[in-house]
Amino acid sequence: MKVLKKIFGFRESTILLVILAFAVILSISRPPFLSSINLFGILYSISVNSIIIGAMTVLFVSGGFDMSVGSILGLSGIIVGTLMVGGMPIVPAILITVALGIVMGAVQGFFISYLTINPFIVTLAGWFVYGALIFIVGKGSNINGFPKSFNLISFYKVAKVPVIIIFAMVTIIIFEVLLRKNFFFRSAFYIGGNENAAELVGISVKKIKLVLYTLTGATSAIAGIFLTSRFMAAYNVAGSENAFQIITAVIIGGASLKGGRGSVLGSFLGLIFVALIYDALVLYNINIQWNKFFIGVILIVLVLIDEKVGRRTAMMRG
Amino acid sequence: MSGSEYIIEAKGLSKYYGAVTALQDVDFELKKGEILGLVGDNGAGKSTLIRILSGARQPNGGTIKVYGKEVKITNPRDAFALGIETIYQDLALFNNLNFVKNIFGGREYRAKGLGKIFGFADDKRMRAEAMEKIRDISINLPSLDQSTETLSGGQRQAVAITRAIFWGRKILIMDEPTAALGVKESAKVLDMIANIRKNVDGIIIITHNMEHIIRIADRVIVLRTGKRVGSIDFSDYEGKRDKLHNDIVKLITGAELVAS
Repeated sequence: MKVLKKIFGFRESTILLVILAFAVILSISRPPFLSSINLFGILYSISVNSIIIGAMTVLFVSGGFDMSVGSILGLSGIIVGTLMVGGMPIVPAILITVALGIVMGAVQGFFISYLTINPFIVTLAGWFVYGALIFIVGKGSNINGFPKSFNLISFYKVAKVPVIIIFAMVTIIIFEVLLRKNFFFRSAFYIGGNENAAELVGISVKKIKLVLYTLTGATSAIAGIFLTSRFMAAYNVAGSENAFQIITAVIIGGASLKGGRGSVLGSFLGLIFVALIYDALVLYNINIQWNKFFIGVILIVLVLIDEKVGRRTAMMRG
Repeated sequence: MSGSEYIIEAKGLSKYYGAVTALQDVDFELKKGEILGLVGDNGAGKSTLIRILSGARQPNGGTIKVYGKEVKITNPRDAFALGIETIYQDLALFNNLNFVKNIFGGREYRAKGLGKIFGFADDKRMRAEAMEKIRDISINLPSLDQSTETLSGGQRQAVAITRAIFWGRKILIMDEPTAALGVKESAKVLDMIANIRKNVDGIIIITHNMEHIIRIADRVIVLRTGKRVGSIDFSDYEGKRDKLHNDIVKLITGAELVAS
């Protein structure tokens, strides 16, 4: 535990141990847990959220918040699908979609940092507006009939591992390293710790916040493209729950809504933890509706421990 | 004393908030090497005066010279550039972060070599320099790794002071440095202030606590209802502590006290 603490910090090592214990119990009591189909299934289920969660964690550390990621994800699927069905080649369709994701995030970032409107309000509005556009742009239907090669974006295999999983893991690692070491990204800790003081010592608070919201927009668009390529269809219900899943995992992973702390690794472990609960319910053949019940209970218990017991972890390292 | 020995010299400072006069035609001077107390009752204008000196407020009239040069201090960054830093009661610390991070916030050293490409910060170098500075100023911290929210009030003061000195501030303005502290912690902070005198050109301290100011200052300037009512040089009161105390209070309240 001590070694783990040193490497990961308290919260991360705690979740890691819980996950391991969980996995051991499951693999003994339900051997299919260890089947490659099941394990890959878990990885697939978290891969799309993993692409977004790094940017979301940095945002949380800076004291920010983004409700709109699911809508941007869903809308990006519809956009890339519409473009391809309209005859546009895959690469420009993807580039345009990512560019629009950047714009969607940047618009929110502008309202939040330069017009100083509360991030919850702005991104809730974004959730409505971008969510409505899913049905307006997609004319209310799902979109399919893409070139076959579009599927390779998710399933082309490198060393037997599909690209979607590799991309997700690489994104996690990049954001974890950047948040720990990169002077631009880790200024999120200063902004989240004391925004006025951050401004006073010369950190470009507004600019950084704008970039962080742009990044959640961009990563949500990329996640939407992967999701669409994975199912070879853009569903108009896609993304409806991702914001809740991601924010839940970020908080389980040790970040605080007040800002100033959090780690990408912790958030990622939070995602795995939530996925394991779901998997356990399936393996034990329990009604899947219990999933959200358990997550709700766990969330409250964790935040209670944070608030009442008092914890000084998941801080900036180095 | 010749004018060139003033590191801050303000003349005729005035500040109005609507119909309210916060400061009226106030002169102010800080001598090189001096610890100056700025005292007065609530509403006397102390806060307004230091806000002007630290760039948080603009005076309606008057001039300010810093190191003999007339200056305009329009924001805190201007004040920093002149070497002036004000340490307010909230200390402007990053409570979620440790000592090293608090020192280097906003001015992190960039790594060299491979790390430079990725925009990495040079944690090792920052840590080493922060430790060196801590020895220099000889303050005690339990650990460099604790977040500042877990430190005592006095230690948090130490972090804020170290940061200011580290970044080359030569004139420190401290707003009620001992107001939130207990007896023991106050004593430590007073010792620390006396100790850092050698690291800076001058220190201005705002306080309500006469005992504290008599213990460490060389002189006080007294304000009452927005006007300067006097300056008392402590060297005129060798061995007459009680009289000094009474004379300061007399100036603050404007009342004649019967000396016992």
